[in-house]
Amino acid sequence: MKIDGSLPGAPDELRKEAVFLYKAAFNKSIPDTLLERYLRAHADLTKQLEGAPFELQIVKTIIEKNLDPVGIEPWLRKKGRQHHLLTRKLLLLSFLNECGGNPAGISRSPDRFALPCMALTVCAAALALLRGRIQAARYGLV
Amino acid sequence: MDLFNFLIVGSGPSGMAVARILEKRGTCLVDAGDLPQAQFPYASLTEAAASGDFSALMGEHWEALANIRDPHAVHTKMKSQALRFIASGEPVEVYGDSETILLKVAGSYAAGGMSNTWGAQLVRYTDADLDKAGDWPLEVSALSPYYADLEEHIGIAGAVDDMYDFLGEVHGLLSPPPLVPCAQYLLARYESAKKTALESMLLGRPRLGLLTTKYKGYEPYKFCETEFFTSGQSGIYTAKRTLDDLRQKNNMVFYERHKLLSYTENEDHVAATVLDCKRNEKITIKAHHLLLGCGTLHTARLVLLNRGETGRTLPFIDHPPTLVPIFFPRMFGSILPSRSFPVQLAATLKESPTRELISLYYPGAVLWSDLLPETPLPVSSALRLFKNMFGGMLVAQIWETSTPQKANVLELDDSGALRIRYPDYNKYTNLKKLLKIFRRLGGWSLQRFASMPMPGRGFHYAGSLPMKDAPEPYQTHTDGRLWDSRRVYIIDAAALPSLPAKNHSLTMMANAARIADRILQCECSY
Ligand SMILES: Cc1cc2nc3c(=O)[nH]c(=O)nc-3n(C[C@H](O)[C@H](O)[C@H](O)COP(=O)(O)OP(=O)(O)OC[C@H]3O[C@@H](n4cnc5c(N)ncnc54)[C@H](O)[C@@H]3O)c2cc1C
Repeated sequence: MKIDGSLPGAPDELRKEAVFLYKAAFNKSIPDTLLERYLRAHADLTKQLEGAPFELQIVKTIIEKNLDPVGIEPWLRKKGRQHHLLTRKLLLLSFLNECGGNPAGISRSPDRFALPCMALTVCAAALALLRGRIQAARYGLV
Repeated sequence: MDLFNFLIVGSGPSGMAVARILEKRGTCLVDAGDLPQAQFPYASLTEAAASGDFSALMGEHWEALANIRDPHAVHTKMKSQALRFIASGEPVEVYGDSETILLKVAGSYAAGGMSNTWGAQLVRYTDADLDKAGDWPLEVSALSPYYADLEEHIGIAGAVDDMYDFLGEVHGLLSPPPLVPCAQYLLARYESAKKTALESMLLGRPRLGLLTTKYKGYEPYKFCETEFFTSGQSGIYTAKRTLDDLRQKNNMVFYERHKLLSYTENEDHVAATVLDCKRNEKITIKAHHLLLGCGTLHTARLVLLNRGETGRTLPFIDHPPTLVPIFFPRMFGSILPSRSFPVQLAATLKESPTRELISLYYPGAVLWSDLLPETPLPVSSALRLFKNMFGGMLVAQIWETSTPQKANVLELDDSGALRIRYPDYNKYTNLKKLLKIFRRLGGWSLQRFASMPMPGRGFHYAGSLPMKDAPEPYQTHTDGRLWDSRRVYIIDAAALPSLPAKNHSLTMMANAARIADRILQCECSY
C-alpha cells in the first residue's frame, strides 16, 4: 500500500518528536511501524501538517524543555479555527494508533469499577490541564 | 433520435421515487453518478479494527485524516475512502455574514445520490408540521397515498409507541432495531416517569428505512457499524436499491455517467444536452417531460445556468441541527455493544409549538480519534474516559423548523459556480428545558456542550424553487412545473417551500411521486 514503506531520509527531529509525543500520549514507546507511518504522513500531507512559525516554535519548545504536550494541547484549541499544529500532531498519532490494530490506550472493555475509574481519569486530566496551563504560561506558549 | 415520454435526471431518492411510477412509460433516466471507487473489505467495524488492516481504516490516501487541519473540511460520514464518491458534484462555497468562506460543500454525483450515506430516518410530515413551517400549498392528505406506497416499498422499522402519532401513521412497521443498554435505560426511565408526572416529553423508537428482518426478498441489516466506512450494506434502504431493481427489470432506458448540461423547451418537447462523461461527448435527448431530481444544489444551478442568470439570488434553506451529548452516569461502564445502529430513539417536546424532532444517537461506528477534538480534555485522558463513558452516553440531534430567510440565498457567480450566503440561523431555544427533562430521566448535560454544525452541514437542502399556488419567477406550480414551463418539473427538495423540524427526504420522495402521478393523470385526460 502507498502509505507504508520506510523513509530513510526523514529528519531526525521528526523522529525525536514522534517518540516524545507518543510517549506523552500513550505512556509507551512508539512502535516502529507507527513511527514510519508518522514520518510518511509528514512526507505525504505536507500542507495539512505544516505549521506557522509560531506553532513550530511551540512544538519545539515543548520537546526541548520536556514539557507536557498532552496537558498543554487543550489550551491551544480555538473553536471554529484550524487545529493548532500540536493538536494535529497528537491527532495524527491517535489516528495512526487507532487504525493500526491492537491500539494503545483504546479498549472497548469498560473497567469493572467504571465510576471510580472515571473519577480518577477526570482528576488526572484536571491535574494535566493545570500543569499544562502553568507550563504554557511560564514559557509563553498561549 | 428517440423522443421519450419522460426524461428523469438524477438517481437519488427523488429521481427513484418518480422512476418507480414512470417505468414502462417510455422513460429514460440520465444520471451523472459514479459508483464507489474503493471497497471496505470487512463485514463489521469490529472485524476491521481487530484485523490491524491499517489501510482499510485509514484509507489508501490518508482519508481518515481529512479533518486533521481544518475541522470542517469533510463531513465525518463522508470521510472514508469508500464514501468519497458521494459528494463529488459541483463545489459550493458557503459564506456566513462576512466574505470569509465558512465551508465548502458539494452536490452529489453518485448513483443513488446522497442517500448512499444517509441515516435512513424516513419520517412523515403531519398537518401540524406543515402549519408550523408555513407556506405549504399542499395538505398532508395530498401526500398520504405516496407516503404509504413508498413506506411499503422501502420497509420501515419503528414501533407503535408514544412517538407514533408525531412521526406519522405507518402500517406494517418492521420491528425496531435493538437498543444499546443506555437507550434501554432511558426508555425504561421514561416509561416509569410517565406513570407519575412526566408531561413534557414524548420518547419512542425512530422511523428508519432499515430492514430488521428479511423483507420482500431483501436481506436484513447486520448491525455491522460500518456506516462511516462504506455504503450499500444490505438492509439499509438507499435509492441505489431501487435503481438496481429498476435496471434489472429493464423497463426504461438508462444513461449512466451522463450529465445534463442544459435544456431547451418548445411546444412539443424538451431537448436536453447531455454529456457522456466516459467518452466526453455531448448528445441530445428529447422527451415530452423533463423531471429534474439532481438534488437542490444541482437543480437550482441548472435552472439558473440554463437562463444565464448569474447574480440572481434564490432562497436557500438548510437545516443545521443542534447536537448535545447526554450522559447517563448510572450506565457508565456498560459493555459497548459490537453491533448496533447509530439512531436509537426519537423524542419531541410535548405540546411544544416548535415541534422539534430529537434523534438520540449512540456513539458507535466512528473512530474514537474523530471525537477527540470535541472533548475538552487531554488526548490520553479522553481516550481512557471514552471506554467507560460511551456505554452511558447518547447524543441528541435536534431538528428545528427552518423557513426561508431573506438573507439566506444561493446564487451563481460569473464562472457558473454556486455560492451560498447563510448568515441567518438561530440557536435552539428549548435546550434548557430539554436538558431539565433529561435530568429527570437520569441524563446530564450542560448547555455549553451543545454545538451546531455550520450552515451547509445540515444536508437538508431545500426551498430554492418553492412550490406556490400562483408561482412567480423561479418558483414552481404545485404540479411541479417551473413557473413558466409546460414540460420541466422540479421533483427534488428545491420545490419544498419550508422545512418542518424533521428529516425531509421521505416527504420529498412522496411529493416527487405525487408529481409523477399527476403528470400521468393529465396525460390520460389529454
Ligand atoms: C450524512 C447525511 C445523512 C442524511 N440523513 C438523512 C436522513 O436520515 N433522513 C433524511 O430524510 N435525509 C437524510 N439526508 C439527506 C438526504 O440524503 C437527501 O435529502 C437526499 O439524498 C436528496 O435526494 P435528491 O434525490 O434530491 O438528491 P441527491 O441525493 O443529491 O441525488 C442527486 C442525483 O442527481 C444526479 N445528478 C446531479 N446533477 C446531475 C446532472 N446535471 N445530470 C445528471 N445527473 C445529475 C446525481 O448523480 C445523483 O444521483 C442525509 C444526508 C447526508 C449527507
